[in-house]
Order: sequence, then structure tokens, then C-alpha cells
Amino acid sequence: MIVRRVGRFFDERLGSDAWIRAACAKIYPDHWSFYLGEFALYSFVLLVATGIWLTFIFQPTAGGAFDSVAGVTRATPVAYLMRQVHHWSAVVFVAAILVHMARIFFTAAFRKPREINWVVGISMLILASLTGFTGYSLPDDALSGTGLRIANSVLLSLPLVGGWGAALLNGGSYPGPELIPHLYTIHAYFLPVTIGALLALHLALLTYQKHTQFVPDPARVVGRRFWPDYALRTLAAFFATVAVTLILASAIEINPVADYGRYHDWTIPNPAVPDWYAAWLEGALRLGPALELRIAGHPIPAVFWPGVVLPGLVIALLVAWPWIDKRISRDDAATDVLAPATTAPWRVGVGAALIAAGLVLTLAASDDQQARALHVDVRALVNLYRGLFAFGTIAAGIAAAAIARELRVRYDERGHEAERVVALRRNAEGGFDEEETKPA
Amino acid sequence: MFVAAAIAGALLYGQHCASCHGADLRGSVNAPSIRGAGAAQVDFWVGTGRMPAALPWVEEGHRRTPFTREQIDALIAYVTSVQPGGAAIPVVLPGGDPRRGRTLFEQNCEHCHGAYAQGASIGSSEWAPSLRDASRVQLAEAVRIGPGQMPPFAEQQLGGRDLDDVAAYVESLDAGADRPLVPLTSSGPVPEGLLGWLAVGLLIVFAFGYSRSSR
Repeated sequence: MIVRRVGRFFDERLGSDAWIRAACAKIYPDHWSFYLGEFALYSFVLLVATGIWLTFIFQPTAGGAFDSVAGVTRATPVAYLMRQVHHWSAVVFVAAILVHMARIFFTAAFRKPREINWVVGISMLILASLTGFTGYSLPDDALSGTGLRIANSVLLSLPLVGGWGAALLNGGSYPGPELIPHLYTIHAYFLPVTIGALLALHLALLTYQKHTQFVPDPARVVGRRFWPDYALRTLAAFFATVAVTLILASAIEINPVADYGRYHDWTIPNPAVPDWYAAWLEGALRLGPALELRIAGHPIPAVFWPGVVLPGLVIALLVAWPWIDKRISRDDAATDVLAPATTAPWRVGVGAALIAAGLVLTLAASDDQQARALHVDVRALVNLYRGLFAFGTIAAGIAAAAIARELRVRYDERGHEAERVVALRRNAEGGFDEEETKPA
Repeated sequence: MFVAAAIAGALLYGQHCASCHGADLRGSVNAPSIRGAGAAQVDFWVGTGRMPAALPWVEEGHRRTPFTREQIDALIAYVTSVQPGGAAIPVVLPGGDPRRGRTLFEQNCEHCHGAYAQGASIGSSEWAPSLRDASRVQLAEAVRIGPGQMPPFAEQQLGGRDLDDVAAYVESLDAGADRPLVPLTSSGPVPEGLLGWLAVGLLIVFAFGYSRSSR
């Protein structure tokens, strides 16, 4: 009754019935991998909800930031839970984005006409990592201050503009009085609003261009209607995300800044690593060569190569991938049908090599902890990871491509087998007779 | 009394130490001279079980000492009787201020030993040990003598009061059982990241099972 009245109110003014009907009839593909992006989406919802709460507690000033976060303890249980959920969601959020992206990559869902949405997705991954890093830095604790010191050094290594950029960010020299207020503006306003806008674009493009699907029938869209079927399923995905995050948040203490202590530029905790999604950059800095150049009298410090050039190349590669893929596959036809990963072993190889490279760099970020646990020399691990980064990634790519090729061959052989359809008929003795039937 | 202890110490020294440090305490190719080492040195190295080392080239961590308190005192008496001098065993008073100790710990100790005094790598194959097994006197001895890679701290850098406070802080870490949630005290973001990925793994299992069920 009320629903109908509200519905009529909006329909008479906006003509909303038509697009509500269309939205309810939208078909969602029925495959587990289509939930991966939803997990990221719902982590973002949790992040925004808890983040709004935290803005009421956090004091974005150089002096007040640490106390306002360290003051969140068991004495303030709701704020404590909000902070726990917020940080754990961030850890889950970026991981969910990556697995979603891996599915898009390996099934070639980025192909024409969806290149734009791939670039939108990559942009959100970068912005999500930046949001994570700036958020992790806000409490002004000794651990994150160490990360900011490194980030500041990387910023300074930029030729020509580095010094000015760092001075602007800090409001002076590091760690300047404006650093925390600037980070707060970036973390709490600029980045989430931008991610929200890109997310809206991401979903709008997805709706407009329709989902991809595994069913190899370009003429039909196969899946479940939004209402009443998929709406409840996506609600279940939402609750699953909330449940997993809440279990972590209510059981395990994350980022205990009160233990690390307030940051001073002479403190550094040991060991010191960033959150996992920034660890590959830390690892790159640890493995990077001590290569310091002077170009026209201008010094290019060693951190420039692993700190600026490497992530720049990775981002360029990811953004350009749909067009690189076109060049390799010589396939620029528009398609809505996903390619099973094994149909293009070379793509599997490239993806596996990228994952291996990320894994090696991430592992290298905690080489000191591994050295202590294994009782080996840190330098031996550094050299091991350098070797793995140079050659192990290529080997992983070749191995993955070979496996994919082998799987494709076997799949093809079994594919013919599977077309033989047999009907079983019970006979008078209680046994079964096979009856060959024609393929449907 | 001192003479009797020194004689007992000489016997222990001959059995456990002389093979490397030499009958005259001047050391050998395997070990440094310990003439004039002083009470704090002997008490620290023997009391924390680092000496006697089973193999001279293997650096031992903190372990249970095989000696009794009287035996350690006898060794100290012997070593200081051969050549007096060296730092005395520092006195650490109870009732230090852990809050002040925390600040001092941040300024002087955390860089190597970690925020939880849990120990950490300090580059190459060296690591700063955990302080959680050390007694407050052993902690103060290490500060004064600077064993291994650790720099010694003079009275002017960390006074006796300061050491009381630092010891009180490190002891308060052990009493930190009153935490509402499970703390990942060893290395923060590493287990946090692993658990985050485990959560995403659980979500993938959910998605996989859910899309197959109730078609």
C-alpha cells in the first residue's frame, strides 16, 4: 500500500516505473567470479560508513591526530569497533579489487567494447591504494610516520618538481605542520569522493554495456533477473562481506598505534613494513640498485628507479593492457562473451608473471623479519629476491602459459567426448541399459 | 669469603671458560680477552646463558644458564680478582615509572628491539634480541656494557632512574594481558595482510559455494 503510493508519487513526477522495471529485469550472469567485484563494492560501503563516523573523532592537526586515535580504546567501544572495521575493511577492500581484476584479466573481459571500464577500474585500484596509504598515515604514529618519511623521500627524488611538491605537501620541511591536515583532506574528501564518482561510472558503464558472460551465445543474455533473484543474492554477498570483516574486526586488533607510540622524526619502530598493498613498493625500494645518476648536474637519487619509475611502468602497463592485448591477439572485434583463461595461454603467462613479480616484491618488503626467523643474512635474501624478480617471474610466466596450453589441449579432447549424450534406461532385471541419443 | 669464592670461581673458570678465553684470561683465536671485564660483563654473559658457548663461532641467544647464583658470583669474584675494574652490576630499583620508561624506550631502544621489545633484525645477519626473557638487572647490564652490536650507554645518557623506568616499561609489556582483542604484536602489517587475504579467500569460497547451490 505505502510502497505503491510512494511508487506512484515518483512515477507521476519522474516516470520512474519504466526504469525501475528495466532495472529489476536486468540479467546478472550466474557465475561465482561475478561476486568478486561485489565484495570490493561492499567493502567500500563499509569503509565510507565507518569513515564518516571516524571523522567525528579524528582531529586532523599535527598535534592532535595521534591522541585522538590512540584515545580510541576499549573505554570507547563503538569508536573502537568503527576504527577496527575501517582498517580491516581497507585491507579486505584492496585484496577484493585485485582478485576481481584478476578475473577480468584472465577471462579477457576488458576487450572491446569494455576498455573504458578497465581503465576506470585500474584508476580505482590506484586511488584505493592511495586512500589506504594516506589513511594508514593519519594517526601520526611511529610506524606510519616511518612510511611517510619514505614517501617523502620518494617525492623528493622526482627531478625538478620533487622539492616543491614535498614542500607543498608538508607546508615546509618534513614533517611539516600541514602534513596531517593535507593528508586528511586527501584521505577523507578528495580520494573517496573521486572513488565514489568512478564507482558510479563503473556501474553505469556495466549496466549500459551489459555484463559479459561465459555462455558462448552472443545473441542471448544468460543469467538471473535482478528482482527477485539476484537482488537477494547480492544482499547475501553484502552480508558475507560484513560478516567476514566484523569477525576480523571484533577478534583481532589491527594497527595498535598506541603501542607504536607518537611519531617523532627520530623514532622508527623495528620491524617496519607498510600495509600489504603498499608492501610491493617497499620491497622494490629494498631490492632497488644503488644507482645514483647526475643528469646535467642534477642528481637522480637511487630511490627514483624503484620508487617512481617502477610503479609508473606498472601503472602504464595495466592501463594500456587492453590495447597491448589487441596487438598480440590481433582481435579487435566487440564481444560480450568471456574467453576461458586457457584459450590464450600467453595471456595467462603475462598475468602469472605480473602476479609473481608482485609477490616477490611484497615478500621482499619483510625480508628482515624472514632473515631473523630463518637465521639467514638479510643480504642473502635481498639477492635471492633480486634473482627471483629478474628470472623467477619469467619462469612463472612460461610455466603458467605451458600449463594453460596443456589444459586447453586436454579440454579440447574432452570437449568432443562430452558431446556424446547417453540416456540410461532401467531394464526388467533392475540394471541399466545405455541408449545413445542424438545431441540436442 | 671473597677469597673462597674466587677459588671456587677459578675452578669453574678452568672447567668452562679457559679453553677459549685462556688460562690467563687473555683470550685466544677463539675468544677475546676478558681481563678487567668487570662484574656486569660476567654476570650478563653467564647469567643470560650466552656463555659458555658450545661452539665459539655460534652466537647464542638468551637461554637458561647452567650455573647457580653462587657459581656466577664465584666466577665474578675470580675474574675481578685477576684484574679488578670494569662496570659493577647495576642496581635496578622497583617502582619505576613505566610511562616515562616508554618515552625513553622509544628514544633509545625501539629502533633495534622493536615496539614490543620483541627483538628484530638490525641488518646483515645480526639481530637485536627480545628483551622479554631478560631480568631487569640483565637489561640494565646490557645498557651499561653494550654487548655485541649494542652501543654502551653511559650514566650521562641513561641514568639509574632512567633504567628503573625502562625496566618498569619492559615489565609492563609482559603484564599486557588485559587487552580486549587478540594483538598481533610481532610484526603488525605482515599478519594483518595475511589475515585480510584469508578473509578474501573465505569470501571466494562463499561465492563459489553460493553460486552452485540453490539454482
